Amino acid sequence: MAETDKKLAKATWRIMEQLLEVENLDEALSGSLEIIVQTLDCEAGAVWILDPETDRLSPLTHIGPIDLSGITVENGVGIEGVVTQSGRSVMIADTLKDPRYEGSIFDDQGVPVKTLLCVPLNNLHETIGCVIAVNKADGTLFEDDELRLCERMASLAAITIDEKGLSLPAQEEKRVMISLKDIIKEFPSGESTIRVLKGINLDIYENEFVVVLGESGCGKSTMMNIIGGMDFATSGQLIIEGKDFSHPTDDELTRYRREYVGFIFQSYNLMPNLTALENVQFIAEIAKDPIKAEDALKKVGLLERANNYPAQMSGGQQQRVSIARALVKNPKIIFADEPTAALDFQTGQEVLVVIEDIVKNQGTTVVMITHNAEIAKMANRVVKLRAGKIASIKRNAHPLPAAEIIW
Amino acid sequence: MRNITRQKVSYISIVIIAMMAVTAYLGISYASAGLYAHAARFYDRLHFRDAEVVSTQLLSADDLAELRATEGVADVEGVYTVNSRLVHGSDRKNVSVVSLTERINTVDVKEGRLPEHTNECVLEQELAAGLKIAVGDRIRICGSDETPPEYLQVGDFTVVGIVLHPDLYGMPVAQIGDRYVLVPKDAFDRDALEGCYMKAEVLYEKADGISVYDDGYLKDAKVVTDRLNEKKDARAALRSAEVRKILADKIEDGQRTLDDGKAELVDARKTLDEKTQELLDGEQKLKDGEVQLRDAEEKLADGKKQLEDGEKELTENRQKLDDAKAQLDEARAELDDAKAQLADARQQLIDGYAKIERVKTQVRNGIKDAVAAALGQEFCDSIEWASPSSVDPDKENASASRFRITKNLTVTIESLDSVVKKTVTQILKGTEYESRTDEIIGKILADARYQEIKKPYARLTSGIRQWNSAHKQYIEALHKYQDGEAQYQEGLEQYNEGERLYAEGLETYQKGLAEYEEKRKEFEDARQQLADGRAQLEEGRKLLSDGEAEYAEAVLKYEDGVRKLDAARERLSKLDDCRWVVLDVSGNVGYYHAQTSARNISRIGMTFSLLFVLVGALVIYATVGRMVEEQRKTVGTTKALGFFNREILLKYLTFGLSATLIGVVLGIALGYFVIEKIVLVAHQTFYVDGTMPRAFQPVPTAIVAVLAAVLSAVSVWTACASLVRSPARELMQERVPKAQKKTKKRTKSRLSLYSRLILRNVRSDKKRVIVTVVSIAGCCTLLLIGFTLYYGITTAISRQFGDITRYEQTIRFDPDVETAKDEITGILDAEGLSAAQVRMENLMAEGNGETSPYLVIAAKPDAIGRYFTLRDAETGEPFVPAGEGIYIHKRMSETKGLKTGDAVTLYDAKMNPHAVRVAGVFNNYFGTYAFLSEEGYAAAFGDAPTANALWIAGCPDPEALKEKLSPIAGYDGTEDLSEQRKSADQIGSILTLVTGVLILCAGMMAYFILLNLTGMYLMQKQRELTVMRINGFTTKEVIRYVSRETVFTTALGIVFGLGLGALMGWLILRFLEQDHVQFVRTVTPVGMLLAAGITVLFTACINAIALRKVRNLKLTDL
Repeated sequence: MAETDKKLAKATWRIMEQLLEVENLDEALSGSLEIIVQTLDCEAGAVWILDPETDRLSPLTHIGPIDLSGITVENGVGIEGVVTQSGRSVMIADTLKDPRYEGSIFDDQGVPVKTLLCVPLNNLHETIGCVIAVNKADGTLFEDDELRLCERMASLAAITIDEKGLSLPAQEEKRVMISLKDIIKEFPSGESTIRVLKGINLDIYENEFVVVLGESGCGKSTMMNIIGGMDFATSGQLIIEGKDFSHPTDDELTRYRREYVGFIFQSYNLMPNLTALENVQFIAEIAKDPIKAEDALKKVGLLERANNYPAQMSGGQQQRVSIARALVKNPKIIFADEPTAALDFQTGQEVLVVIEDIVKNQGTTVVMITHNAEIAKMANRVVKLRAGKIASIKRNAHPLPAAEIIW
Repeated sequence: MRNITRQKVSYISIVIIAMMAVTAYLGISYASAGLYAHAARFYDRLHFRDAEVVSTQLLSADDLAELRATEGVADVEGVYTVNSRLVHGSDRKNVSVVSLTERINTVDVKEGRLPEHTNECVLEQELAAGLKIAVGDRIRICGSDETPPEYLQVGDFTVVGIVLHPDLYGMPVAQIGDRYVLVPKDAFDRDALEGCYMKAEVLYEKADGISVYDDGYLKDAKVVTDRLNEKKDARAALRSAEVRKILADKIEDGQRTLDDGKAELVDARKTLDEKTQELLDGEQKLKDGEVQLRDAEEKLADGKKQLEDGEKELTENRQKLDDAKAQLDEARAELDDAKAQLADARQQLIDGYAKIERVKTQVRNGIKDAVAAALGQEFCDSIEWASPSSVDPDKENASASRFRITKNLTVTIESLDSVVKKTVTQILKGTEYESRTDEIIGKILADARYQEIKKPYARLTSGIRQWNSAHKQYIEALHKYQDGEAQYQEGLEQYNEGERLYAEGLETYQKGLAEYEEKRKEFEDARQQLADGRAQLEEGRKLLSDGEAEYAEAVLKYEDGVRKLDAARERLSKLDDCRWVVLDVSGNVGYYHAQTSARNISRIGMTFSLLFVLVGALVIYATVGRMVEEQRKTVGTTKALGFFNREILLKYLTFGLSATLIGVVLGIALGYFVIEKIVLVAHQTFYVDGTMPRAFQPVPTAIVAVLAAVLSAVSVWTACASLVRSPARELMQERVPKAQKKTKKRTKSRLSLYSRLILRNVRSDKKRVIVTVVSIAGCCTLLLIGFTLYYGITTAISRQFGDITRYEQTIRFDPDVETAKDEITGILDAEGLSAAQVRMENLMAEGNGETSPYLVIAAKPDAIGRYFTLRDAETGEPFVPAGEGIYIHKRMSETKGLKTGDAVTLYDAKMNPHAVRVAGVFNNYFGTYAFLSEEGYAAAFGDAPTANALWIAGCPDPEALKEKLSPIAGYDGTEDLSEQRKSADQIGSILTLVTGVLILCAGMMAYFILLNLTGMYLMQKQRELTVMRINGFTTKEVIRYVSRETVFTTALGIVFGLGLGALMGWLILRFLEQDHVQFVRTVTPVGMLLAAGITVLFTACINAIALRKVRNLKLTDL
């Protein structure tokens, strides 16, 4: 018991640090939620903020296997709504036995809730949202101490929000392009199998810049391979433009890659026997609706090196040719796998500027894998993967321009 | 080692190509050595002659001694030989009967033993096999007219052994000419030969164990052969003189004998004429006798007829008599019966009568008593009273009715009272009592006694009536009997008369018969005499005809003798000078064939290995080059770290060298155990001496190994050259494609991006592309060589036996047997076969200083045209021989360097030279045909050609035809063209095998090398291809992209391959050709198409295997 206390006390202390000292409130809140989820060993958690104008709750940050981004809930509906409306904490130790439980967004999104804590964010005047943590990983039920930790965190958060003011980004209604539901990927390893992706739920919206962060081996490349149409999921559902792509044929995948997707690789992978321009043209020839190869090169600022062979260019230049090659197809989405990993800071930044430009000016969605957390700052959303699961999805209310990113 | 495991396929490909090169060269080289060794062993074992001296007019003992005395000659042995026919069952075969030698050209007894008696022989193995003659069989040796050949004493031989003879190393397919029947020297008529031999075998002094194919040997032997040649003219001249002398003496002897013979003939004629007259006389006599005999025979027949009639009549009469006798006997019996009955009846009549008499007596007595009583006793007594009478019943008038009472009174029976009255009246008449008659009568009637007789009297009356009736019947019967008796007597008399007449007739008949028999016998005797006479006449006639035949024969013999003598005189007058021919080892066809084969094989080995060596070196170069390229950066790093060039090079050298050496070892093994074996097995069918053991050549093997190592090292070195030259810094950087702006601009406008990319790919990866092209070219070359060989032989076979030679059998006959041709033609006509008459001679011909056998054909143009198509070698136009000069076949013109207008000397069977000029060259693939027009033949030989063979075609059963022809005198056997075809097919099957091996090699080359190269290519392009796939290129598009280069390299490879293959195929065919064998050398479009097609197929298969990689590309592996 004493140990639990100690643990909770330590967590409280860390939450205080996060909320009181940090400059960016978004991060502070998501960091705090992360501490709670870690400390209580929960399956998922979320911070919901009430938009008084629409009287709807939307997730500020969330952790867990499901993507809640873009979901809004009516105030008073579901456990999150009830808590926000009433302004009172609720702990439902066992959802099956407690008649007060009337469902949660987690249930709706595919995480059946067994036990939960939901605490309102109460400032001095009103309730501005709630914090919810569901399901313990060890299968036990929540206890009162744990509720108190949440309440403490909620109080601190509410105070901080009060102090610093929280400006919620305007909730644009973005169209979902790609949707992953419960995507599981296993690789055979000897006689057993290794489950690399353990149930990924993620939506990718139109014209957004998503950065996928994660340690080596966490499954980010595997996930990207599946989204990019280079690999199949073992199970789960992949929906692209509303069409089920869970079990595509090789032809469908090829057509998808050909018409819909552009790729940028860490190691550029240019054809050594083609010039920069030819490398772009080579791909343009198979595209359905390509832009001019010269224009693509111009966009990446390499028109003057059009007739150079890859071996005659620097890494950054090669990577830019590679980006031009992805651009020339005029794709809806570009996947970039550690495009700057092999580059020095300077050239890396050049490349990022080009990518940023693509998202902003072309309306292309870019999904970029990186292990560089700094680069994540320029993303609209940051998806963190850990051990084959989505650890968190954070919305950057204010993405930094590429030029300002330093690492 | 790590390199090797990583580059497994490349390593194996180097091993394989090195192995193939070494296999091709060494395997074939070993085979060539094996062929030489096998032949050399055979010749060494059988003490093969180093030279053979043949004389056109026999070799005398002096000649042999002179040969022996030549410097360098170790031994000389004379040999008898004669060409003749072997007859075994219905088989006839031209053979050489050769005397067995003791020291030179000895035989190898394979079965049985050597002859011990003059009527024993041994047969050359293939001769025995061909005719299926076994040890113990009997054979006959004769000339074409079935008589024993000249100089041979014995005609019938028992085969006691099967042998190999060094003169006959080649099988019949490889060595044309007659096979040997070997007999003891004594089987030859040594007296007739007068101590001379047909040829002499010469053995040179030479080192033991030296091969007859050894260059040193050939050089040394030539010196001695030249010495022999120097002597030959002088010796021949001597021999000529000697022969002339002998011939002149013989003619003189002959003339004498003929004269004697003529005298004898005259005598014989006279005797014969006398005998003829005698015979005519006898004949006349015989004719007369025959006429007489015929008359007698007629008479006899008449007599016989009469006798037969008489006999018939007699028999009839006899029958009649016998019938009459039987009737008579029957009548007699009946009569006798009747007589007996009559006697009985008579007796009864007599008995009855007596009974009646007794009653009558009783009555009379009564009367008497009554009278006595009436008239007194006295009176009574005075009356003569009748006594009882007897009766003869045979009297017709006999009757019991009359009753004699007294002597004078007889009454008929009436009433007793009237009887008494009559009696009393009677008695009293004249007497005293007459008056009283009535009274007395009354008294008597009243008397008692009288009363008493009344009763018996009544009985008497009925008795009398009965008796009279019986008597009457008796008389009737008696009459009847008497009539019958009379008739019988009459019949008897007639019968007896008949008997008498019959006896008379019989006597006459028997007399006649005896007379006939006698005449008959006389006739038979006469006939026998006549038959005897006739037989005698026949005998006489036969004797006479024998005599005549004998005489005619004698006349013929005499005339023959005259002719022979004339011929001999003419021969003497025209007698050619004796000529010697000295043959060295190459003069033996078997030796020459083996030598040529071995040489050709070794050349083919060289040709093939050049191809493999070229490809091999390039494969090593490319493989190592690519490794170097791949490991450029590593190498650069190593270099930068301070390794020496030599240390880096060593790594690649080890890789290349070890693979090469493993390949060499495998190649040696494969060459030794497989290729050599195959070649030897294919070739051993051409030679008699059984299985050919494999040969191994250490020195060439070592040289090949070293060369391979050097070549491999050079290839590696060349491949690594840039590596060694470039500084580490450069190596560690990516390579920049050498793009020249000029070319780029030029190509840009014309070529698509793809084509440009492929061209640049090719340019940047020259080594691999070149090796790929070379490998494909090599593969295509092998295939084209294979198909060129295959079509070269099959087309040659079909042209030769489909277009050129259209006869199927050659029926040989002896033109000297005049009837032979007509008899054979008669049988052929009956079979419905039409034959072309040709003159066919196996002649030696010399042109441009080289001697070779020609099969010279001379016939009428239509005869040739019907069964043989001559096509001009230049234009291909058909023609028929005309005018003077000889037409030779193309191969002959090539090998002997003869062209139209060149002089050729033909040597006839007696080795007399006849000069002709080449009139034209024609296409021919098998055989050594040469043609002369009739005019040309006459011009060359002085006489018009007489046919000695018939060409036929379409015979349904040649064996049956042979059987039919074999009894014909002068029939010399039938040669089937299918034998020649068989030998061509044998070459064909070997070449087909070679084609198979080549296709296999091409397949192996394609598989191991192309797969390696394509694998290499794909490995190199893997990243590019993955990027393409990721960017949405479909698998098909990617494969198309990859295949473009393959198509390009394959096309280029096929172009080079077809060129090289055509050249090499042509070369190899030329190497394989022999004097009598030519192939169709032009590469057929079909062959080219097949080679190209199979190459495409191979590359397509290899690519299909390799391109699976593209399908299985893992997009996530980037």
